Amino acid sequence: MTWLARRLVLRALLREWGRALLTLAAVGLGVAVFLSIRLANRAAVASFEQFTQGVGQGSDLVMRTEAGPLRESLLPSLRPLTEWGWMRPIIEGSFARAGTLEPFQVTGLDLVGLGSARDGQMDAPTGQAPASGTTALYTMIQVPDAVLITSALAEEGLRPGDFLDGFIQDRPVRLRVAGILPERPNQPRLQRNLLVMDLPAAQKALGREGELDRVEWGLRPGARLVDLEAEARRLLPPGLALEPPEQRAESGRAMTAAFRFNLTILSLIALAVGAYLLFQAFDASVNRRRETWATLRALGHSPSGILRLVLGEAALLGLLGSLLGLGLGWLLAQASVRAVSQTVNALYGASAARSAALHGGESALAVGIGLLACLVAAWIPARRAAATPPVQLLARDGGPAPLRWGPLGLGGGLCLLLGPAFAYGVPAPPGVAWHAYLGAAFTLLGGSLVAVALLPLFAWPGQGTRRWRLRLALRPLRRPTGRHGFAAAALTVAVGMATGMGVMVRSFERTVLVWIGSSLRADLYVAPLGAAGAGTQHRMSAETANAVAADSAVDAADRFQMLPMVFRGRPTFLGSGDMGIQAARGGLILAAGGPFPGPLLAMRNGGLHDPGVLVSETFARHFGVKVGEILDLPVPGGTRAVTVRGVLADYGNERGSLILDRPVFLAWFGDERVASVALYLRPGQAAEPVAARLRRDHPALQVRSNHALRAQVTTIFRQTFALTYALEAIGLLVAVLGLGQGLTGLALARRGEIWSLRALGATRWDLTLILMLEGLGVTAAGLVAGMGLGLILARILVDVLNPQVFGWTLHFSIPWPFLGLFSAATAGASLLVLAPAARWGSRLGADREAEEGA
Amino acid sequence: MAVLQAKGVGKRFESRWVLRALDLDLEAGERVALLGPSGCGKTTFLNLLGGLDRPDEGAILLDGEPLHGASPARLAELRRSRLGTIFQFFHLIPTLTAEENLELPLRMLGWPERRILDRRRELIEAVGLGHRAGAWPSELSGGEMQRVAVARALAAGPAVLLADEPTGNLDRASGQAVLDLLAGLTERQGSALIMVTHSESAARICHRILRMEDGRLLTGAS
Repeated sequence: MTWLARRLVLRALLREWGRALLTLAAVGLGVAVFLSIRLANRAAVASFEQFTQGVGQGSDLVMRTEAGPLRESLLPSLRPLTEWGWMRPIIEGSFARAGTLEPFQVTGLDLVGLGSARDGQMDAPTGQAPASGTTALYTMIQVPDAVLITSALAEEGLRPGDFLDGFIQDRPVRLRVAGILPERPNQPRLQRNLLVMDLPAAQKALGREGELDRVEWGLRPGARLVDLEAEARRLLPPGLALEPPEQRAESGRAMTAAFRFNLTILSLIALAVGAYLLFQAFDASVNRRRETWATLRALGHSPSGILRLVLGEAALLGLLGSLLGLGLGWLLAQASVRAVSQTVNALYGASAARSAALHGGESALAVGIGLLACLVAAWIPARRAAATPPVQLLARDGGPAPLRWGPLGLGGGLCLLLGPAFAYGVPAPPGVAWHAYLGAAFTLLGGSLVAVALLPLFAWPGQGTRRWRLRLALRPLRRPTGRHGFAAAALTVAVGMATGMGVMVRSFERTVLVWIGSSLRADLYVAPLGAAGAGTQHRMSAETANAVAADSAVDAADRFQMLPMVFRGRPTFLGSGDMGIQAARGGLILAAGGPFPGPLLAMRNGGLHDPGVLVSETFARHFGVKVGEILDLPVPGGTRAVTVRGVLADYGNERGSLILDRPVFLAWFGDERVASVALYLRPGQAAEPVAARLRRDHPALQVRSNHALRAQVTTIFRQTFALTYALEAIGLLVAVLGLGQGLTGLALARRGEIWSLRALGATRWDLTLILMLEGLGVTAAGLVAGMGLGLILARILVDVLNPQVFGWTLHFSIPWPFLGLFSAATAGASLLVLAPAARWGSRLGADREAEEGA
Repeated sequence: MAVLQAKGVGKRFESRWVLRALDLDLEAGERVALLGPSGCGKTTFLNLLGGLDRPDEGAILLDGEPLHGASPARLAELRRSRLGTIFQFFHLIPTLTAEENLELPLRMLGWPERRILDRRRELIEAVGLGHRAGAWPSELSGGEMQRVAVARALAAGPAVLLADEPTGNLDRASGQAVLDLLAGLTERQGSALIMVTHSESAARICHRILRMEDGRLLTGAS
């Protein structure tokens, strides 16, 4: 750092420490939000991917069925493949810990077989080091319900010999900890919530004797994967699929890509709004020292030297602020990781991330973005300081030139037309909808430009009024400067995003409430205690389901089953329910296929001769399926042709699902287990006493009344969007702070005027009021433009983005009370920030003149 | 009786005294020029006289009322009704037109609309800018801006007009026009004038000339 930079940059920062701290806080907050979302996201998705990959790590080839269970009896026919390497049959299930119902993945492995698999050494379940000691192995084989736990879980105090109480499927279990899975150096740490059992014990515990989920192979040294794969394909029975393990990981990543992308976009918005704040901070800082730049220029300092000085200051603040943001981001990540994990859980399946580590790459990216944001924000003021002639800089009344708001408004209007045109007009493949994001970006830009053009409208109350304070306050808005424009644009973006997301979330909520109001018609819903989210593996045995259905108060019981399946190479779900009961008592909402219950009756009447299927809207969009189309449905041992009878509105998961009538499902899959049972009670039977009786008789089942289930769905829904609300609030906070910052800049620019007004007899209160009213004029423009922008964004989110990314059709509805409350909150927050800024501005004149007077 | 009095006024910035032991009596309708080299404290003294800054010693009395003890609100009221100020750099409000700048003090005083309009018309004609009444400050020349500033300072009929280098930023012709205006209008309104200037010729419009050096008034100056 040069002599001049030390004196000009460092001293200025120390002298204007308040402004420097605000800038550091803005950078730090932006970087922290960005980083925390990325870290929490990474932790939750890594956890999910580890579950997805499971013990697939270390294997070279994986075999599984496209639909239904893999029969263990197939294994002898695959024995010839052991010539190329070892074989590992696997079964997976879920365990819910008693009390918290925290989800664990149960993995069953053939521990005896593994013992002789690789050079006579037992291979640990994740392809890692052997489990500790032969005692553990002996216990695992001898003791039913014995499990190996991860070292991460052991660190919480669980030791061999301890017990884990909880639920597997529909029964309470007590698992005995037999040993601790060792960690292998240079390998990712094992997922905390992983329990390993011996294969037969796991099959028994899961109630799936003779079944597997997949078989994995590992190559012997010298063997070639192509040979193994070729031989495997030759021996492969129909309905089975081969895939390299990385495909599984890739599929997991692809599955969560939209979710991760959405969160990243949200965190970038906080940073983008923060960039406006930074621009204002640097603009004010540069403007305050205009005489300094002018003097330097007059003394012969080059314009590029001044550019370097200003940008150097920005880089210094960017670096310090980003480092501050790293710490804050890590702390925020710890707070948000559970919320993100919960959402991943609800949407995709198991994720149990509890903490987020500070990741080198993510940290470097966050620091880089913070630094870049500062340099970009400082560029225009720096250029102006460097390029403006010294005489002009020294001119006391030479404030910033007014904006040409007419062309800005026209440009904004054009962007507002282009945005929706992109979003609605460009066809895009399913998944991440780039065109919609681009459309939203254009709309955001258009909205912020229109906000600038709207400013003169808000000068109107000051026109022709005899209230001199109002006239003085609002008159500058007739010819707004860049500072007015930036403050209004920042607020517009923040308000627009918050409104857009708010309207979308409330449209979503209303749609879901209507959906569950129509779909959930039964009196009671019964499911295993640990069941939660689309990816749950807890199932009820046929006996338990029958016992529940046999209760004397029950009139009808609709047994629902849901299995993961692969359709056209992509993961989805296959469900089955009783179409007869649904047609008579249910209220499914059909998006296509005719009025309810026509398609359901067609399925029931078609039976096995003309089998039909309902597909969810998400499924229909992702696979491009229409009513009347015949699909080749993978079933155990091959495929069956099914006709699509209807498209079902379903907001349960984003992978989509196919629904078969239960008799057809039973005939093809032979799987009598159920995920849940909907009970319709006899007339006159009160739900609560029946629920209490069922809970008493079946302690491993959760029995919820219709009302309780609806309440739970609503709660989960709101939890899922909690993070979104937090990000919106941060964005708004940053924008309102920017407004305050903007007002101090405006006051600085008007300091000559403030001085004149004081000399003319204006009181501090008059000046404070004038500056506050000016700020409120900008707030009003930002609020009005932001609301309009938000409604357009909401339409894009509801009409294009949600159907495209998640496959969900939402019904657009404007929550007026929310918008009213939100506007009032924004105006209130603005007032709180503007008041001290205006007060500060009202004191400007005297100090300034006193300094110069001597 | 003196309308404005300074008694033993002193001002310091940090430990340095920039003004010491200043005494001044300004009679109603009297015009006084304050001459001195740059940095001698003329503007600081003017700011003290206008109640824009507070002395560290001594007293300033406007119509016998001490300014140094007045509350900020009272000071603002006095500036609004009894004092007028003209700056070297005009300091017109850039977002108000010429006539709006001129009427601003009257609106601050809460004059009735009819009276404001009459006074505005009178003053804008008096400073010869009737044809430029609707112009923005940025559209006015330096001389025109200072004429508006003079009219604005005199709009409410102050007892004392404080002018800080009113011609310092103007060419000779414009400067002379502004000086003639100042002399004529203060004469007509009976306002006292204290004018800080470098220019001996500008000082000729005044009844009395005071000279300052190193923060002190030179004795015997007139």
